[in-house]
Order: sequence, then C-alpha cells, then structure tokens
Amino acid sequence: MGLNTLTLLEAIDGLKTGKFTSRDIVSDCLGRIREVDAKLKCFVNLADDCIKEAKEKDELIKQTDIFIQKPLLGIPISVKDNYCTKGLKTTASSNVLKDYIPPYDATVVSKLRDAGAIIAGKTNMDAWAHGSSTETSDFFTTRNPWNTERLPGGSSGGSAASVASDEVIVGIGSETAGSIRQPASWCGTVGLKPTYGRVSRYGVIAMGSSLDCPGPITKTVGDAAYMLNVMAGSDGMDATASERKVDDYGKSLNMGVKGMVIGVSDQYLDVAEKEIAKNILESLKVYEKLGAKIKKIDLFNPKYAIAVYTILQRSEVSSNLGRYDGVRYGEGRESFGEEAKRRIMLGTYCLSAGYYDAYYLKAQKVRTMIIKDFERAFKEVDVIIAPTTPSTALPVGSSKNHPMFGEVSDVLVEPSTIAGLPGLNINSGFDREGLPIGMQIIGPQFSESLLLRVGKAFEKETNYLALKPKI
Amino acid sequence: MLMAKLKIGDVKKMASLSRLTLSEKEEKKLLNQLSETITYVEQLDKLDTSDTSPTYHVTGLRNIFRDDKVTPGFSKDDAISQSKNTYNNYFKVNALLNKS
Repeated sequence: MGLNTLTLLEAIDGLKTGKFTSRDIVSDCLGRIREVDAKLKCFVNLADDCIKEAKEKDELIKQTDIFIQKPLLGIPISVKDNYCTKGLKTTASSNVLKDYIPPYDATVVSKLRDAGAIIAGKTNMDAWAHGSSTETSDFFTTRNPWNTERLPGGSSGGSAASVASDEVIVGIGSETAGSIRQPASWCGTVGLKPTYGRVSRYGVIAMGSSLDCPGPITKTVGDAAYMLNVMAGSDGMDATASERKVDDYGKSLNMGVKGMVIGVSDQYLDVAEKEIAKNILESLKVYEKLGAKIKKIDLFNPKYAIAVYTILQRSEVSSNLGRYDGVRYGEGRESFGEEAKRRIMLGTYCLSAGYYDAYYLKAQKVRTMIIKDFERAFKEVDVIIAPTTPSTALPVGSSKNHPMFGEVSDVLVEPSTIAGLPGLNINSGFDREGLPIGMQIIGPQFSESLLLRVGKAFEKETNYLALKPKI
Repeated sequence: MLMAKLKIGDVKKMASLSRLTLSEKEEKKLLNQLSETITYVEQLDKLDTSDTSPTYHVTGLRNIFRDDKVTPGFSKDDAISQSKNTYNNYFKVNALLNKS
C-alpha cells in the first residue's frame, strides 16, 4: 500500500514525525494517477511541478511547529476545475474556458496554498457544474472507482473519484445542490457541504450564486473537519460570506451522540430505493445503540424542492453565464454545450418580463416555506438523517436526453440546499452490487461541528470508509 | 400561475435575449424539453404562498460593507492576458454603432 492511501490526518502525522516526506507522498499519488487515471479520467489538467513543490515543502517541514501556520504543508490535493487557480488552467470542464488561465486565485485556493497544500491537478466536472453525472463535461465522462461502467455522480465527480481511488489525499468540490454530497455518496467518500456563506465563493466560477458552497471531499470525517478549519471564514471579496466566528471543527468530533435526538422522515425514505431506505434504517439502529433517540418527523415534500431549485438555479445560471462573451477571456457564446444552453434558455424565460412573478418570485416564496419547515423540525430534533441519493451509482449514459436528470437524482439534498443548511455525506454500507450507499446528516445553519460529530460516531462504529475499491 | 404553452417564437425570443445562436433542430428540441420542465415546475402552483414573503438570502445578511481601501489590482498585461482579441493594450469589441 502506497502513501497515497493515507488519510489526511495520517499523512500529516507522518510528515510531522518524519516517517516520510512530502516528496514520498506526492510520488505515490502521481504513481497512482499514472496507474488508474487513464481508466477513471478524474483529472482535466495536472499540475507540472508537484515534485519540485514537494521538495520545497520538505525544507519547510524541518521547522518546528510549522504545521500550526501551515496545517496542510506538503499534502497533495485535487481541486475541482471551477476554482480559479493562478497560472493553472481553469476550464469548468467547458469549451468556453478551454484555454483560460486565471490571473488570480480563488479565496479557497489562496487559503489552501497558504496552508501549504500542493495542488496536484484540476478535476473533471459537469460543464459549469450543470449536472450530477460528469457526463455534461465538454471533455469526457469520469468513471466510478467502484465500477467503471458506472457514473461517479457530479458535478464534483472528478474530485470524489480522485479521493475514492486514492489518487490524492483530499479533494475540493463545490455544491449548489448535491454536487458534493451526491458524488461523495456514489463514490463512497465523505463529502461536506457547509452552510451557505461559511466558505467564500470568491473565484469559484459562479453557478447559482444564492446556493453555491465550496467544501471538502475526504476519506474520513476527521479529515473533513480538518479541511473545513482551513477553508471556512469571512472574506472581503465575498460579501455573502458570513462574519460569524469559525468553530474549531475538530474539537467536539469525538463527543459521541448520547442523548441526541435524530430525526428521520418517511417523505425522504420513500423516495429512495428499498435497499437504500433499509440501509438507512439499519444505520439509525447503530445510532440508537450509541445512545441517540430516533424520532419520526414530517418534512415538506421534497418534490417541491425540485421545482424551486430548478427555477432558482436556471435563473441564476442565465444571469451568471451572461458574462461570457469572449471579449475579456474565453471563447464566444457559440461554444456553450447543450446543457448550458438549455439552462440559460430556461433561466432567461423565468426572469423575463411577465414571467418573473410566476416563476422566480413564486420559487423564492416557496423557499421561505421550506426554510420555515426546517426551523420547525429543528425544534424537535438535533439533526436529520436521510439517504443522500435515491439510487446508488447509475450506469454511464444515464443522464443523456434527460433534461432534469440532476434535479431528480438530487431530490434528497435540494431542500436543505435551498434553506442554506449544511449537510454531510458518509458511506453507510454497500448495495448488493457492491456500490456504496450514502447517508446524509443535515443540521441547522452553522451546525457543521455537530454534523461532523454525528458522522464521526458512525464512522468509528462501522468503518465502511476504510474499504477501498478495486480498480 | 400561467399555464405556459411554449411556442417556437418564445424559444427564438429567449435565444435572442440570451445571445445564443440555435439551429432549427436545437430550437425544436428545446421547445420540447423546456415545455416539459416548465410543466414540472408549475406544480408549485398548488402551494398557497399569498402570505409568504420571498427569501433572497438564506443567512439573513444585510447591507454588508467593507473599508474603502485602495488595494493593488491586475496589471494591464494580466488583465488582457486571456483575451484573444486585443488592440494596443485594449480589448477589442464589436462595433455597437453603425457609421452614418
């Protein structure tokens, strides 16, 4: 087993104690990428000088207590290709930006670089993050490490598959509705979608500005907590980033779930395949054994969230993609792919004179109803547990000619997204075909510490996350 | 809500507003797909929202200001480095006004 299979916390521990060097880890990751990426196609662009960078980091690692200032020193990571990376091509997997080299870093990327991380490469995604399969990438489809005839999910499919296949130590994704949790679920990894505004969106190619959230995709819950510590915080460059104090997300990780009330809703279980619903009910028994109380709750029917999300997302897309005119950077509008065109068109329709009230305004009102529904639920329970996705990883080709494929596969994450809530996906077992099943933990706004604690309790008890795909 | 019956003229209008050039085949396909999606989202009509206000921002931030400090921006070279069409260090755009 190479060093590429290490978790983030193991890798940091080994670097600190001098068991191995950053160069050793990076070499093993690059070796793994050479070995499996022709099959999986996680990356759209690899960085050139990772080994050189690792050698520089190894010099720094010799300094005492350097990890306090640089908590990710020498760690190779993958970054979704919608994060602007100065000097490194950033395409959002779209032909419009196929040659775009940003002159600046996204805030998250600056934070990662300041923390000493090594960006191994940029990962494939649905073009502009429009989708839940990576099949709408203008370049190619990424494959699921657990079964290469299956989709990895999306839009952060490349990041999730790169983490699940141990090509890197951690990955960075972004979620508008499901784009972290759904691929994390299909690839059997941890995916954390933070509260809207907890992590800055500056420099992340905008999709749905009232919904977009950067977040980590990791091998363990502890790794996700560690990453959020680096990524979270206010930002003068993003006025929607919250000024609220950032927790130490590792602090309460091991405090368990004794006495906690966990909500479960039939409205969510009924949407999922029977095998998945059964898995979630069994997972809840694990929590009961650990001292939590399970409570049935009623939630707003998630099918309305699909409609709200579709209207809001298409509208915001049409506005955000309005800037691509090929003048200052990128290609002209003729380079948009089919999915982007479809979304721009519908969004333009929803926002156009005479239709705004009927669609956009109506959706924003139902959004308020969904928010209030969650507020009511969180008076009764501490967190809600549900399946992340209605099915496990679907076959390659499933999204073709299905204009609402993403919306339907993301039905169980859309309500929480619309309310700006955080959600954590963890692997809760496997279906009869050996594909990972994802369980999500949803909490009130800014309850990331709580979600991570609840996730950690399950991980300790079951250890599904330690299982590796054979590629 | 409006019972939208999308027509090909609407598709053409949206394309023009979106500055997208579509083939006839694309227009027809979009007519079907957009109609399908619009029909789907119209189920929101079943919900009574007459007493509900809209939410535009979920964490309730209002009037966020920052200090009006001058900070370095892009150099001219950096700013135009990604454009495929420049002239004497300027972006080149299509003519907006015709010569009379």
